[in-house]
Amino acid sequence: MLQAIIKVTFLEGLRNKAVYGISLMAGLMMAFTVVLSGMILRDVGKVATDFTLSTATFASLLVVLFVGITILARDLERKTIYLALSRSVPRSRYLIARFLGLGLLQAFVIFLLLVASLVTLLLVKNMYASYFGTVSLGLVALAHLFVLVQMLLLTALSILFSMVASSPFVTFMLTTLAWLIGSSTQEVKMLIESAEPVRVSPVVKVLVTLAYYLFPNFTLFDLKATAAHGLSFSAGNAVFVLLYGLGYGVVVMSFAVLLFKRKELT
Amino acid sequence: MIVFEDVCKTFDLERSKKVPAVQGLSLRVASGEVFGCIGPNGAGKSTTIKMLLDLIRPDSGSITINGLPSQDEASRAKVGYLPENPYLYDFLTAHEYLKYSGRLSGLSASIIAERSSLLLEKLKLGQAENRCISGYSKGMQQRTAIAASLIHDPDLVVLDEPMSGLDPLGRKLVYDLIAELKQQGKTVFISSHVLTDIERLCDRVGIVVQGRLCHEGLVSDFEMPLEELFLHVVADAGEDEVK
Repeated sequence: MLQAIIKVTFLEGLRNKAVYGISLMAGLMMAFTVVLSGMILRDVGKVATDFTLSTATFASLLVVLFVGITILARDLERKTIYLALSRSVPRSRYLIARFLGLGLLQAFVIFLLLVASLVTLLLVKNMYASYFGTVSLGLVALAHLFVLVQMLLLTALSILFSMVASSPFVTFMLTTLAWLIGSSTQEVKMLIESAEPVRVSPVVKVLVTLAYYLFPNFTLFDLKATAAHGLSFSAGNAVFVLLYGLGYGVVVMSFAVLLFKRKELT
Repeated sequence: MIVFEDVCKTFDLERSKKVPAVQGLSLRVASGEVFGCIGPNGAGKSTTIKMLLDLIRPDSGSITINGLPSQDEASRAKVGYLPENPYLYDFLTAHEYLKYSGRLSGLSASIIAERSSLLLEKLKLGQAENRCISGYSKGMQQRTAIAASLIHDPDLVVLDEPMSGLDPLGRKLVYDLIAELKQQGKTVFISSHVLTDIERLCDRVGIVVQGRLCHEGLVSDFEMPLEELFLHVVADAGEDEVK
C-alpha cells in the first residue's frame, strides 16, 4: 500500500513537464560551465565545482518548489486524495508515503545532476588540466548527497506548510521564505554577534536567534567551498550533519502528520 | 450495516459565519440494501457521504460501518467510493490507475489483473486502458473512477452522483453495474439527482433537505412517483424555489 503511493508520487513527478524543463536548464548550465572554464586562466576546477554544485542546488530547489508543492496541492485541491483515504489507508501513512515518493523523485533528479556534474568536471579537467587544481570528486558526490538532504528537509517543510496554508501559492511563498531564512540565518547571526552591541537592536537579536533555532540551518549542508577548495571534511562532521537533517525532518513530518490527521478534506 | 446516530455538522465560513450542513441525521442502511439519498443541491448529501468515509468529521453524533466507528480505518477496508465529479491521476493510464487502486486495498497483482480486465470490459474501457486518462472524455473518466471504486470487490459501495457526465450509453452501463451489485447482495449508498434511476434501483430512499432527513421509506411503499414525492417533501421543508 505504502509502495503504491510512493510509486504513483514518483511517476507523477517524473511525468511532470516541469521536471524536463528544469533538467534542460540544468544541462545548459552545466554546458555553460565548460564554456566558462575556457574564459578563466586560474582555479578552473574551483570555479567549475562551484558552478556545477550551484546548478545542482538550484535545479533541485526548483523541483521542490514547482513539482513537489504542486503534487501535494493538486492532490488536496482536486480531491484525488479521496481514492486512498476512502480505503483503510491511515492518513499518517499516506502523508509519509507521499513524502517518500517526493524524496525518491529528488534522489533521482539529484543522481542525474551528480552524473552531469562529474561528467562536466572531468571534461573541464581534461580540457584545462594545467589550470584545474585540486578538486575532490568524492566531496562533490558528498555535496550532492547533502543537497538531497537539504531538499528533503525543504520538502518536509512544504508539506507542513500545505497543511495550514489556504492555497498552493501561500505554501510556495512560505517554503521559499523558509529556504531564504534557513540559508542565511547562520551568517546573519554571526554578523550580529560580531557587531558592537549598541549598533544592533535587542529585538533584532532575539528575532535572528529565534529564526536560527526555528528554521533548518541549510548552511550546514553547503559543501560548495569545501569541495571546490579540496578541503578536508571529517566523517564525524558528515554524520552530525546527516543526523541533524534526519532529526529535523522527523520533527517537521511529525507535526505535518498531526495536522493532517485533523484536517477536514471538504 | 451503516448507522448514523444524531449526526450534526456545521461549516465555519469567512467572518465567523456558520452554515449547518447536516442536522441531527439518524439513519440505518442494512447490509445488502440499496439506499438512495436524494435532495436539492447543497442539502448535505455529499457532506453525509464524506463524514461516512471520515474525510470530514461530524461535530456531534456517531457513524458506524459494520459496527466499527467511521474514524477507524478498518471500517473502510471493504468500502468502494466514487466521489462527485471525480478527478483522477490523469498522468496514469486506466490500467495503471486501477492497479494503484487495487494496491491501496492490498490486492495481489493477479487479482488486480483479473478484476481490472473484467471491470474495464464491463464499462467499455478495454480499448482505452493503455491511454493516458488526461485524453479521456468526462464520461470515460467517470467510468474509470467507477471501475477503481469496485476493483477490490467492496461490500459497501458509496456512489456520489454516479451518472454525472455520462451519455445515455454510459448511464445504461453504470445502471446495469449497480443492478448487478444489488443482485450480488452488496450494500449500495447512492446519492443522485436522476430520480428515475433511484426509483428503479433503490430499496429505500431518504430525502434530505437543508441538512435534515425529511422523509425516509421503502420505494415499494411510495404512493406517488418519487419525483412528485420529492417535490412535496422539499416544498414542505420550506425550500422557496419549489413553493
